Amino acid sequence: MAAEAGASSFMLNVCGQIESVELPHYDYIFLIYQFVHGDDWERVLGLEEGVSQLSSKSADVRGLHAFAFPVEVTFKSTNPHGWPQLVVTALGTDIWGNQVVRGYSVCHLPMQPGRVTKRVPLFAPQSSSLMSKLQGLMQSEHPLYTDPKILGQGQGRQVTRVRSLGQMTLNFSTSMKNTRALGYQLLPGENFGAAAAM
Amino acid sequence: MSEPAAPDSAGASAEDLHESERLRSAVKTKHDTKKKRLRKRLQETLPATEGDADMQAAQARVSQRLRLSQTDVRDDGGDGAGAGANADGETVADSATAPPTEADSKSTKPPKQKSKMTAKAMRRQKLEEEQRQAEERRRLEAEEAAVSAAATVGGGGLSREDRLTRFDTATVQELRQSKADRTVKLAKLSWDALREKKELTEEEQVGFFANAVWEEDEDSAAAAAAADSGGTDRVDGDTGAAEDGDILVFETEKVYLHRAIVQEEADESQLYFYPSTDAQPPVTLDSPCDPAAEGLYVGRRPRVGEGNILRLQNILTIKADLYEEKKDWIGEDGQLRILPDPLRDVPMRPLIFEEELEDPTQQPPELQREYRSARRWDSPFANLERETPWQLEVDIGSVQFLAHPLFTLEHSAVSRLRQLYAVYAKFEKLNFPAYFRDRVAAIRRELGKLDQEVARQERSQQRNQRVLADCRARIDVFRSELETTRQSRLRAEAEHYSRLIELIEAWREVRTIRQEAGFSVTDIRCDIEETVQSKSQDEQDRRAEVAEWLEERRAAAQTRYERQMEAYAVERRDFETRREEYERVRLRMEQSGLETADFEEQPPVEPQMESLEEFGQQLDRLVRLGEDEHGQVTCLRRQPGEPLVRFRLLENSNVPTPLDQIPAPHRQAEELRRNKMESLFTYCLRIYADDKLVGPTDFVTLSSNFMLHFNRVSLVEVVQPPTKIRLDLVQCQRGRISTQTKVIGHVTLPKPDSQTTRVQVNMSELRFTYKSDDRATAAGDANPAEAAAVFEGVVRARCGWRCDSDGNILAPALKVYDPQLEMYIENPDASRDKPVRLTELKDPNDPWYVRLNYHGYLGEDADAAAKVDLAGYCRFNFFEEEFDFCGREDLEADSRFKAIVMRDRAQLTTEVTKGAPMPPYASMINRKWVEDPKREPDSVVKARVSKLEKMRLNYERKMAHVREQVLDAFNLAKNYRSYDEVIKEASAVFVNIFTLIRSLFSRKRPLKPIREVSSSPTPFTPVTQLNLSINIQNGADFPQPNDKSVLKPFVEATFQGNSLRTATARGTNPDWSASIELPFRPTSAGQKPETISDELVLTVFNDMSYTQTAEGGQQDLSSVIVREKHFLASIAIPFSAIYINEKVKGRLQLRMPEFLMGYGASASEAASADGQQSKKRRHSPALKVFISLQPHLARPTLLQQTFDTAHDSARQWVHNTKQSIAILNEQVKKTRLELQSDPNKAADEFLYNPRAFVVSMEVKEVFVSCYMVKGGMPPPPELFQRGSQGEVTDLELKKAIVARYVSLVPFVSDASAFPGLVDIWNTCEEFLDYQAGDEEEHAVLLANYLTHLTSGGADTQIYLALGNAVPEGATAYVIEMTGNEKFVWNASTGFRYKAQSDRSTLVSIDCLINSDGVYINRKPYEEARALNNPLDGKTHWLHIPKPESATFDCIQQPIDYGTDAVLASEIGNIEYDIELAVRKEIESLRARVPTLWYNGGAKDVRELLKALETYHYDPNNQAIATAKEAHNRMFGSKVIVGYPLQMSYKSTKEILNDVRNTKLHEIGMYVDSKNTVPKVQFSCVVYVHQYPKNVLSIWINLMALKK
Repeated sequence: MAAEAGASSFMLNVCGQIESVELPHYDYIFLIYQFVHGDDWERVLGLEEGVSQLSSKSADVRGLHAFAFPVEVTFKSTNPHGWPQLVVTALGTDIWGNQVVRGYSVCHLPMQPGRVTKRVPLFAPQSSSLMSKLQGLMQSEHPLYTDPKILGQGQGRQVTRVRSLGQMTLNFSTSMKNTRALGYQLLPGENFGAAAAM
Repeated sequence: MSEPAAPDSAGASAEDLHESERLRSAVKTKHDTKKKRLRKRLQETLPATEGDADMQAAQARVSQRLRLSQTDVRDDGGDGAGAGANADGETVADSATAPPTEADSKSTKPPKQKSKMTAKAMRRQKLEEEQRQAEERRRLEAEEAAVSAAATVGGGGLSREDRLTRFDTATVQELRQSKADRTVKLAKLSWDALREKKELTEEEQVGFFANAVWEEDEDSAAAAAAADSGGTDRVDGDTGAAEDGDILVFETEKVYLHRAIVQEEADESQLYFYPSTDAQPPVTLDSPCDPAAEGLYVGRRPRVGEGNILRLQNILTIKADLYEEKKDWIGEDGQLRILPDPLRDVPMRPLIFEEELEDPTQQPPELQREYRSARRWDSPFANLERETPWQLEVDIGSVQFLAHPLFTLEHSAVSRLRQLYAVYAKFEKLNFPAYFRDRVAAIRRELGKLDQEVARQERSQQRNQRVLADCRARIDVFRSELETTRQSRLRAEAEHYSRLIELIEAWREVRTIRQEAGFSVTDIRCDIEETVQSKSQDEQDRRAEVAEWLEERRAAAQTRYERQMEAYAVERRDFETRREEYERVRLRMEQSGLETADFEEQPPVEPQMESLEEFGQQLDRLVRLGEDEHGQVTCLRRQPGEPLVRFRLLENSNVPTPLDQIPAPHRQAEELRRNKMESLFTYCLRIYADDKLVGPTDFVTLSSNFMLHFNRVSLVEVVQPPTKIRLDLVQCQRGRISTQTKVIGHVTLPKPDSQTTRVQVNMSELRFTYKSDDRATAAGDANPAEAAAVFEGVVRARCGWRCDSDGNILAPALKVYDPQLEMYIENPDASRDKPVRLTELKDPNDPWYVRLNYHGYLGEDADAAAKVDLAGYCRFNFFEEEFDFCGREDLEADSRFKAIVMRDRAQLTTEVTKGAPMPPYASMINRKWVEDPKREPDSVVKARVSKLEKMRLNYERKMAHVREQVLDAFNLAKNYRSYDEVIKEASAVFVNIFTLIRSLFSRKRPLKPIREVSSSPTPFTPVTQLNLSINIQNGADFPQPNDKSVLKPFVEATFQGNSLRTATARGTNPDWSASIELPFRPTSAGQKPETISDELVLTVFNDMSYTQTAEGGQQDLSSVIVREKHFLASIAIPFSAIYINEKVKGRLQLRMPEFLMGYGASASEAASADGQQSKKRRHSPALKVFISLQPHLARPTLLQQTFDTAHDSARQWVHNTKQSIAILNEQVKKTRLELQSDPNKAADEFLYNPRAFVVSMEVKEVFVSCYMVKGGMPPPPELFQRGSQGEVTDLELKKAIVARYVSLVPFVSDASAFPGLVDIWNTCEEFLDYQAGDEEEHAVLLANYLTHLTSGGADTQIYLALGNAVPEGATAYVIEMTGNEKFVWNASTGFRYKAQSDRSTLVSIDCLINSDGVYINRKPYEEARALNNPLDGKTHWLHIPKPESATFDCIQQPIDYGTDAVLASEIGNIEYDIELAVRKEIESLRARVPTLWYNGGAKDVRELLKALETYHYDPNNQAIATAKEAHNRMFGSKVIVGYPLQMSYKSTKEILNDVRNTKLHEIGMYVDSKNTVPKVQFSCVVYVHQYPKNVLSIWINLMALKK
């Protein structure tokens, strides 16, 4: 299909899923994902935010949480600046039965058409002091980002201390429309094959 | 099967061998398992081949092979036959000799092992028996086989027995030993097992090995190996099968390399080598591999990569001494010495039976040989089997003689001219002057950039010294380069100039010769273009050049000098310290009476700035006159005013003079010469390729200008590319008898590379010179002069490869050895080595082009130089332009880019774009977004009040600049976030424990009411329907109508054009208790509420409704209620104030006109009658309101913004102070929360934002006390002059006057861009200069004035107070403390309140500021009561004293009041304009009905207004009274409503707004049909009073009069 000559925006469709999360330390987690994107981006289809099922980790040493949680979204934009990012928050329940954050992770949606498997590390902010950590344990008030969307921006991260916790495996299948008509060349990158092979 | 090996090795009788033995057996077991596998496979394979067609083919091949061996035998003749016989014998002998050898070996065994081995010996005997049986069988079989292939056994025998191995070093003893071993082992072979399964003929076996289709996998190769061993064994005639079914293979590390030679029969048994299974040496360095394990015995020669062979050759050559004995691994052919057929032990040719040949004379096809000429194996031109040979094209253009015996004077002159011109043309094409000019410009540009960079670095605070040093170093380098380039340019220009002069001289010579001779023999003509240059311009350029040069030199010298000075300063300091030290020592020594000497060291010489005087003169001389420092003219350039000359030589444009026109004396000689030229000589060129004549050209004769035109392309076919191509110029002199030929010159054409075709090459001009010194020829020649002549000339020719019709270049491709592929491949780099074609991009930073430039300059690379166009390629930033995908101008012109930048800087809000994303193309951008919003000119006052306008514009520009800076800072600050902003976390633990404990101890009450602080605010969304909820409770102190009627006031609230009013109340202190909800919606979707700049206006009117009888009807039946509103007072509250403070709650001071006609007079009159006027000072009316937004909106988040501090030297102090304020802030917040949650103490919530640092106009944080002048600032003295009444001296009055003056400075909020977040604090001077400022500027100025006025007073203290007020919210006031009396000044209105009174609009105080420091209120919730707390204590106020440091000096500048009073003359015009505008406005508002104007009494009104302004501080002044009286007399009887509005000048629009809000125009709007003209007249009088610094007070007296 020939691209429309006077296309005023390009479309990015990403469908994929959050396949699994490796969080060997924690049991019973679920995920919330949301998108962070620039001013010129507009979500035309798909959920702004998704909440997954509650998962219990696998009984083996991997401590794997399989989610197979679909992420499907279509964006429209005029400008690659502010390419959408997927921010995933892993939440779980602690021993008191309260809901606490188990980890955050963030990744850009793929910029090339095609299929990509990504492994993204999860991290969680650390308490600023030992006392607050103890208290956090007691009161199940673990430090958490005021807004997970902060992770989509580069600002203000320097004040936080985080710890890596596990990994998340995502796969995306991307298709685009009109990028060429607007003068953007988004070709499959070199890591395409390697990533797909992973 | 390893059992027999053990005794055998034991037979070696060496105890120390045991270890190696173990090793071997270990290796062997490995092989054993392998062998088992092989055997199994073999058994599978062998039956499988049966009956196949393959078998037939295999047999055929075998028979062929056998034939070969037969031939071999035949060729070998007797020897071969003998060997064959021997072989036959051997088979017999084998069985015969076997037992004795075994017995031999047994006997060598040590006795002690014998006993152990008895069991094995038994077994061996059994084996021997079996072997013997096998022998029998074999013999029978051999007889059968002999029928079909008689020679087979012989050949096989030969191959076995005559094999000479490389095992030269093996001793006879060893050989014998191994032979014995072999016999033993062969006996064990269970060949029978195989034979039982299938009668395997020899052909089949061999065919199996020689199978053409050979699978390369390991198993099959191994199987082949196994079969090989079987086959060999079979040939040897040894068959055997061990009980365990093992098949042996040969296992050895040796490779058979030698050619077979025939050995003597006697020695052969000793010399033969038979590989053994037992004596396997361990794997060592010398023999790193086990060939059997590697599968080398697979019946086929292994392929060894050429690279490996080369490596081996290399190793053997290099380490010849080390591998002495291995030298003969490589044969003469450079290949490994290896048998052609591994199945044959000798090199053999195929066996051919003659009877099979049809033609005996013909060689059988197998033996036919192919002839190949010898060639070097490493020849790059490997591929010679081509149909078309390589073809070279030699293109010969022409030959131009530069010297020839037949030259006339003119010819030689022309020749010289030509040569000069060639050089000139080349030089002109290169255009070096232009190149250097560009280069100078480029360097200068770069220098400028560097200078800027250095300056920027020096200015910036966090400069990097290394970067700076690097920049400076680069500047030095660039400067020196610049100087060099300038010199070069000078020289290049001089050279050009001299060339030109020479050329013109040469031309002149030619002309002279022609003139003298009277005719011309050459056809050359000269074209000289002259461009006239302006002399003055040239002079100017030259001067500029000198100046620039000098300036650069000076800058360089300056830098040098500074550096020297620095070094000198260090040195000097060292010297001083040394001297002091010395002096001290000397003093001590002197005191102790020792001899001393003076300090002898000389102080370091102070460096002198290099004098540029001399250099300047030199430079001047150099540039002007081209003189060097010795006064010699070295580089003379075109002098100023000299025309620019371009010289062109035109060939063939001038016909030589025909013979008949030549003057008589020369005619004959010339005719002779011409004849000679035409007839005497002919020339040809001989082409030699590598000294081989490949073709002469045609003979040509000289043309009139001594040129030979060949224009021929000769084709040269070559097998190998020639190393050079030579052209010989041959001259044939046609004599009378014979023709003489001689070579008069030769040139060599450059060899073309393999990728260049002829067309790609340019004609190269090759020079030749020939000087005949051949005396013999000279003697024989008729004309000795000619014989000894000099020939000189230029050959134009070129040479390249030919292209065939398909475009293939018929050139040999150079082959190179690819180590990875181990073969020769076409040279992939052929194209890479090609010289760069200059049509491509040129960048002098590319090393390639630097070289080209250089070569071009030096004329080394003629080809390149011809093409180089050096101009315009001088850049110093590598690929700068190439990386700019568009220019800066394009970027600036691109509106999309502009819009994106603006959006990034938050200048383009979503409000403007309506939330739409940025369009992808510039054409889709709304022009309005990116263009600067034009300020609509204030139509009325535009012309007249231009000065005011200008000031305002100035201010706005300045504010815009500041705003930009603040925005930048904000954008920067967006990157910084505090921890709390990012992370939510459990707060400090002890507080929570405390609360826990407290809750334990607190009394448990079943009902514990908890006060909700506030409902959770909703975030603002554009769709939110907002209501402005205005709760008007009551009013106070409204004026009493004079006619004693009851005042019927109501309040009208107006916002964004919507109005709603309360019901009418009664009395001067009315109580409405009304709630008004004004709905509104943000104008556009993306608008943020803080940017709504509209004001909510609350106006109080007196309801003067009356019933008017309708036209002619009965009063009761049809009457009209005419509602007339009489303006009383009003107030405007900016929306942002409501939004930011979330609410406005409290008593609002309304602004009421100075007097209202018909109102309040009685009160004042009564007061005056009482004589107590001073006590009963009139209060302005007040309104108690509560305004909030519905729904409750969240407050805009406060940005914690820090700017650079202005107090650089006290950063630590600043930081600490901020820290302590922040701590205090936290504490206050906590206390406030506690208070608020306490239902008993309903504390109001105010913003608490104590500040010790504010942002100045330079966008730097300044300690706030720096705004306060120590002794205050003197107000302009004119303020207190009261004309005839003299000067006002009363301090209180003075204060009032000053406050009035300050309040008249127009109020312009600078907070609209960052509402409530950032306040820019101007100094008082800026404030008055720009005539604009908001609360804090007013307050600062007033505080400074008041400080000055009260400085003499004993106990009056003036403070600037930051706090909250109604309705402004956070604001700045001035507080005056006189003893216990505390007053609050609102600087923007000029009102003064008692601090404690309920009238005071200041409701809380954050901090007090004076010139000594800041007092921060620890208890802001105490509201104004906080002022009662002593300032010195620590419990109530936190005192931050101003540090005694220069950096904290007061930043205020003295104000110059007297500069511009130009406006004085324009006051009248301003008045007129405003009046006109007001009238127009009223008329337009009353468009339905005609508006009548009453113009009388304007003078009286003006008098009154003037008096009001002049004596505003004293309402009971005599002047006012008299003016009022006159005014009353004039209008008192007929006035409906009348009041003067007083305001400062902001803009005409705002004035009109105020007028509109009074609703004056609604009076007399009711007109019935009877009297179409209303009975109302209007009066409008404007009076403008001018104060110093163009502060204007505008009075508008509005009146509605009964007609």
